[in-house]
Amino acid sequence: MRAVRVVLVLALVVLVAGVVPTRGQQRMNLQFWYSLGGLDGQVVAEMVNKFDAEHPDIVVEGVFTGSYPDTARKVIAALAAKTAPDLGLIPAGPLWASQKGGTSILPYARGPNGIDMRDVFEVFWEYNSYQGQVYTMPFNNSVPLMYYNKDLFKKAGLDPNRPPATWEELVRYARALTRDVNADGRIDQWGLNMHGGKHWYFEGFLYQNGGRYITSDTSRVIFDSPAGVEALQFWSDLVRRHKVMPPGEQAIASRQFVTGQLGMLFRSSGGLASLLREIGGRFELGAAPLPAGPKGRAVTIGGAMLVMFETTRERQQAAWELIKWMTEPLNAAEWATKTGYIPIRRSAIRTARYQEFLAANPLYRVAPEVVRDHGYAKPQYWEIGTADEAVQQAIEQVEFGRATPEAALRGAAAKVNAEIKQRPQ
Amino acid sequence: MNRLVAVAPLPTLRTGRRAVIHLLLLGGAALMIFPFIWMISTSLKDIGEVFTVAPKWIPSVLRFDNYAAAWRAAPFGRFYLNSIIVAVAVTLSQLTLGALAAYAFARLQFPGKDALFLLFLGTMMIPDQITMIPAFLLMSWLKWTNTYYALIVPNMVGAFGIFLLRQFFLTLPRELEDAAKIDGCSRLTFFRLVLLPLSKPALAAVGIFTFLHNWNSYLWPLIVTSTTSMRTLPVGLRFFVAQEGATQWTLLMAASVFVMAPVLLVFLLAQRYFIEGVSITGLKG
Repeated sequence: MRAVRVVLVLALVVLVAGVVPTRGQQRMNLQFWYSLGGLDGQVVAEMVNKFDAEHPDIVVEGVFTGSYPDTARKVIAALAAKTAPDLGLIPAGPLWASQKGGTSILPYARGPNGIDMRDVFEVFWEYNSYQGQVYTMPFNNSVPLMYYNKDLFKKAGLDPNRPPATWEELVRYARALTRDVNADGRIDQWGLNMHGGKHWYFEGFLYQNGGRYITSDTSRVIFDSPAGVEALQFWSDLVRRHKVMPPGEQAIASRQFVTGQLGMLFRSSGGLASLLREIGGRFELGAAPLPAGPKGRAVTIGGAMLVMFETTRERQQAAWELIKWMTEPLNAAEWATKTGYIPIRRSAIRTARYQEFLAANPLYRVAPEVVRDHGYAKPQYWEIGTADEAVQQAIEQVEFGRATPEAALRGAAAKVNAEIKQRPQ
Repeated sequence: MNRLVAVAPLPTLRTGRRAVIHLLLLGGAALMIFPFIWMISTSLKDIGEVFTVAPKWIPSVLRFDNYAAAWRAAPFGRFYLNSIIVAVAVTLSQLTLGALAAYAFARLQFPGKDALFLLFLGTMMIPDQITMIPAFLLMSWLKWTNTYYALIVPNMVGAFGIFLLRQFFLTLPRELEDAAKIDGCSRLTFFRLVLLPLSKPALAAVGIFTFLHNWNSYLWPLIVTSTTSMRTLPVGLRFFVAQEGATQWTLLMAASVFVMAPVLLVFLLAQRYFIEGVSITGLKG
């Protein structure tokens, strides 16, 4: 019995000794939350290790925080309890950074240890702003692209090197690709479908038709404008009039595509690597910008950003050091080649590393061009969760013929605007 | 008591009916096992073979290295340890405290008993999401975030276990306790030597549910811990799921297999008690 007690006491001593910081070395411990899993998360973890090795005075503890919504929940709890980390790779970052407990990177980006802000695509700064002020650093960004099956194009008599460039062509191509292969009276090869998050592609149609999602002061959503109704009407026609897109099958769109049952797929540029792997060489993949609408080409960008939280001056300087390092041209290029996300800086695209990568993987050329030529940033606002869900429901109602585009969008907008009215000022 | 008698063997079943029942059960079992087989099949595939038009049940090349790669992708050894510590501690605590509380609610007389019981039941109606932030603030105030305390203490008592055990205790004859008292048993001795052994099936059920619930728990551990070394297995599984692109399906399935293995083990072990418990209570009927 005594022996047991001695062991217990010893164990306690060891435990306590382990907790008390060893004096002498002044290494700063930074906590860094990141919301990317899969291969992307592994690349973030590798980058953090590399930063640690190059910065003996800073130790970064990278903590994976789950999906975007899970991370948002964690940030809310942490801000309320004042236990936020030093920095994070977090969606809707400008909203959090503008809160009590968050802080803007701007003084650091513009300071003596700053960066050339003009090197970063302007649209990314817009995406990282809240109410006109830059709060966060762009990091992983993507745009929706149109992927297509070149083999099916050839079979349908379409030029595989000339994907549809307008809405009219999109319909024509999709019609040629929609087929009942085994003649059982049911369509088993569709012309077009879209992967997941319907609202993102609707935003594309909306902007391509000259409409906007929300006013720039975020006081009111305006996706139910005539431009919006027309955009959703186009969507509805794809499903109900031309019958080239199956209703309500977005969740299995990528599966249909990689198994050769779908001609064209709208999906994030971030999905390219995954598509290539899952296709496994069964057919030749093509990638192109979304077709132009009546007002030309347009898409809205998505992704998460590097957010800094309010700590001490020294800690924030160290956090900025990490942010700056992660977005340096070479590291940004490395990140982009390993994940397929878009390089945020012009100089990153010019690096030999990235140019070699593009030469070997030409499909990756499309996304940066889309950002440069017609990428738009939707304003950051608090009701985004409600809005995206309401729009998705509206699209679903229209796809199944339960509401007209006008009625569906009006209902969705009313719901979101009611919530905006309750926003605490 | 009738409920307990009903589970006695069914001797008078004709062969025809028995065959039909067995066929139905076999169909149900096949349906249940389908996702498991698919999981194991995918865990052994090359990523290029995961999505094919005619589903491929047997991979053309068996990639056993998926398991090694999945294990290395995150500190799963540590996650395992954490999950076992938390799930075992919570299950033991819920069984002990739950059985004591259930006994009190079933057999003792004290003022406010019904109101208190209702209050416990009421906690089952409140979604976790609502209490999450206040609970997190409390943990933070106690400086318990990122410790085993935060993972274990808030789950030490569960209304579901208390409710289930109380209902079960009520079905046991009061005469047992009276007889025990006459033989000189204290309440606690009766509880320990008579009531608990008779309640094995109910305890096994509560144990399985509690263990499973805590083994699978994701959001609370994610929110309340902020270092990789304090994370549990479900958070580990998330490491393979990408936001926009490269979800590592084969590794995710391989990891799911080894995350699920202990649960199957617990079920197989507890299943024995189910049957044992049923036979004991059956005798008494």
